[in-house]
Formats: sequence, structure tokens, C-alpha cells
Amino acid sequence: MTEPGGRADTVVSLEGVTKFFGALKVLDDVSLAVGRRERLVLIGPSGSGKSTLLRCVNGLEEVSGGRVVVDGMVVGDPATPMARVRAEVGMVFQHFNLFPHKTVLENLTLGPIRVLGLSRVEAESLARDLLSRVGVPEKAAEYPARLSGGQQQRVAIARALAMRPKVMLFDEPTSSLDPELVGEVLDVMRRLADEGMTMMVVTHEMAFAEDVADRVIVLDHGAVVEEGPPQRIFSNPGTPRARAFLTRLLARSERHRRERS
Amino acid sequence: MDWVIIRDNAALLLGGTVTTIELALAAFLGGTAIGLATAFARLIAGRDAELGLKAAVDVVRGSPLLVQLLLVYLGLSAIGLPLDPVPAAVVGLSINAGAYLSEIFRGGMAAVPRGQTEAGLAIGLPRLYVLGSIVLPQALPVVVPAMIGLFIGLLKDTSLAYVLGLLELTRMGKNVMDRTLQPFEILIAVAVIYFVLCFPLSQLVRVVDARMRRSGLAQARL
Repeated sequence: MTEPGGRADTVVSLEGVTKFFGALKVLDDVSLAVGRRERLVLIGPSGSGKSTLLRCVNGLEEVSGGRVVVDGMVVGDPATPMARVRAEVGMVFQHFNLFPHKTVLENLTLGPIRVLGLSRVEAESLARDLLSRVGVPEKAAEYPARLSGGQQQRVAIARALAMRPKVMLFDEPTSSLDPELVGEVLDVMRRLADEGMTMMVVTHEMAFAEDVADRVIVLDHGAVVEEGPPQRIFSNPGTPRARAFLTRLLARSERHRRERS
Repeated sequence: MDWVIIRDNAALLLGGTVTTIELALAAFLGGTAIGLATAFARLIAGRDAELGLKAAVDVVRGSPLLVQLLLVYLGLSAIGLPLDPVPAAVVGLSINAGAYLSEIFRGGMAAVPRGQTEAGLAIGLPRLYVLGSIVLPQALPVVVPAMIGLFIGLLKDTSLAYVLGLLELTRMGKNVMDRTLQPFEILIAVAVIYFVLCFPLSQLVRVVDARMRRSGLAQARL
């Protein structure tokens, strides 16, 4: 590969990324490229390195070896300001992580004002627009604690979108939600996918992966063990471990679907 | 018992009280600045700097304030940095308070869930801004009552500035006592003045603590 990021339509690429936590190898020589408008879903047993992989993309974790390139910028390179990388990469967390001492509107305007240099008026109009898009326009003046989990996560998605990112990372966005609130968050994510957002999603929601993903990656012990379109991965996994893991996951997801309907 | 002596010397004792309050406020401000800077530096700095700062905090917390005051006043003048008693007392008390306050700030901020820092960083905010505007405000329900508690201690600790010849409340009491030769009445009066300053503050800690626990801020942190 000659220039960072390879092909011009690659938004995120990991090139031989290795990550250690102390002596523990969490990511083992992972290479992958995410194209513009691609929806990549990452699955794998807990501890397989999915979250760590996402966190390497926006520099919340520093890679131990290899490199991560976002839109031509090498993450962690002293020549690339981290704020620029992070402004282009939106992240949605399992536990929402809204700022509890700020209103919903302030949560959304903080980044655009402080990092992108928007005026308050511009930032607020952008924020209200996004709150409408995620279906909570009436919550602008509320504090996060007064919102349901599903509403909080939708606001968190809006907060990330307010930075006008080129790619969105979702780290188990529905895992800490009550089952009846999962749907509203997935709906927002589906709509985002339809609008052409580039997405990297760590999730256990197999139905979502099947509907939305262009490509599914199965991680195990920090390495990519399966990769392909969801239909093939789910119906005919190649490795026994992936097969065992997917069987368990699909059964659980089927049970959830039954419970929900 | 001759309590008239108190009334006759009330102006002097009040003057000393004012000095004590001024000293405590100055050291509290200085200590807050030192404490915030130290706490932020420890949370941002690399491992080596963090260990160095931790060692400095431990040394200040692990040695007597009286020795620190003498060190600032006499020690510094011995190496060519003479300070007047008032600045020396303010510097010494500020450093001492700063060491304790830095632990209050650091502990309070460490108790704020890590996801808050990550969420701030993830939208591109600088680390210092995240600490100051996102983490620190959420630490206040823990930090503010502890700060008031520290100020109470500081008010009483200013009495050690006595050894620098500073005319704060205790020294003023001593002077009056030397002149009137009635130590019992004077010392009781001095103690009562300290108590009158400190007791309302200790009640304030309770009120603030209870209020902050009830407020949405404290709840949202859980």
C-alpha cells in the first residue's frame, strides 16, 4: 500500500494492528478496510477484541503495533491532531455517556462550538435538526437523567452526528437497554445506514446485522476468523468456533425476537 | 475570674481574628490553585511526572505544617530568598492546603465514570477541557463538602503562623496575655472565637452535602 488508506474510497483502514494490555494480546495483526458508505458489523465472543478495535479507530486506545488510518490521517501520528481524527469519527457507547450536568441541547452543541468553531446559533439549529431526526425534538431543554435509556442513546447518536463525522462507531449501542427500548435505537441506526453513513457496529443484534450489514467480521482472540456478507456468515460459518459462537448468538437473538413480538 | 479583660482587649482580639480569616482565605485560594494544577497535571501527565507529583504530595502531607512554615520562612531566607512573615505564612499554608486539596480533586474526579472522559475525547474536545468542564463539575458533589472541611482545618492551622511572629488570633492572644498576665480568660476567649468561626462552617458542610446528594447531579452520577 503506497499512500495511507489505500483506495480513495476507503474511510478507515487497519493495517496489521496489534494491541496489548500488559502481556495480554487483545488484537492480533488485524487488517481491514472500510469503504465509504459501507456498513460493517463486528461480532465475536466477549473479550474477542471488538470494542478495543473500535476504540483504536478514534484513538481512545493507542495501538501497540501496525497503524490505523482514518480518511488519510494516521491515528496517533504526532503530525495529525487527534481532535481532527475524532471530529471525523463519531462514537456511540454502550452506556450512552451523555454529560449529565448539561442539557440535551448543550450535549449536542458542545463539540460543534468548541471543536468545529460553529457559532451558538448555528450549533443549536444543527442540534435541533438532529434531535428531530432521532425522534426526540421535545427533549432539547431536559437533562439526560430525565430521559429513558432509549432516548438517551438516541441523543448520544445525535451528539456524535453533530460533529458531521465521516464514519460512525457503535460499541454495543443496545446492550445496556431494556429489551423494549432496543427497537427505537436500532431504527435510528437503520435510518442512518439508509442515508449512506459509513458505520462500524459492534453488536449482538443478529437481525440488525443481517438486515443492515454489507459485511460481517467475526473476531476471536483478537483475530479476524470470519469475514463476508451476513447471509453467508450466519448460514455457513467456516470455523468450528465461529459456528459455535454464532449458533449461541442466533438462538438468543431468536428468543429475544419472540419475546418482543 | 476577670472577664472584663476580654472586653478591654476586644479590639485587639478582633484584629487578630481578621488577620486569621484573611490568612485562611488567602491560603485557601492559593491551595485551590495549587491543588487544581497538581490534580490536573497528575491526571494528564505521563507516568514519570505523575510519580514525581505523587511523591511531592506525599512529602507535604507526611510532614508537620509547623516544619513547613519554618522551612519557608527561615529555610528560604537562608538560601537567599527571604520572605516577610505574611507572604511566608501564605505560601507555606497554601502549599500544605494544596497538597490535601489536590487529593480531594483527584479523588473526586477519579470517581466520575471513565465513560464521561471518553465521550468528551470522542467528540474531539481537548483533554484539559474535558477534565475542567466535564469531569470536574460532576465531581463537585464530593469535592465541595470536602473543600469546606479543609477550610475549617485551615482556619485552625493558621494558628501555627504564630511562630513567624504574625499577629494572627493566637499570637495576638499571647501578646494580650503577656501584658495582662491572665492567660486563662484570654485563651478561653481565643478558643471561643475559633469555635465561632468553625462551627457554622461544619454545619454548612452537612447542609451542602445533603443538598448536593439530593440534586440531580449526584443522582445522575450513579
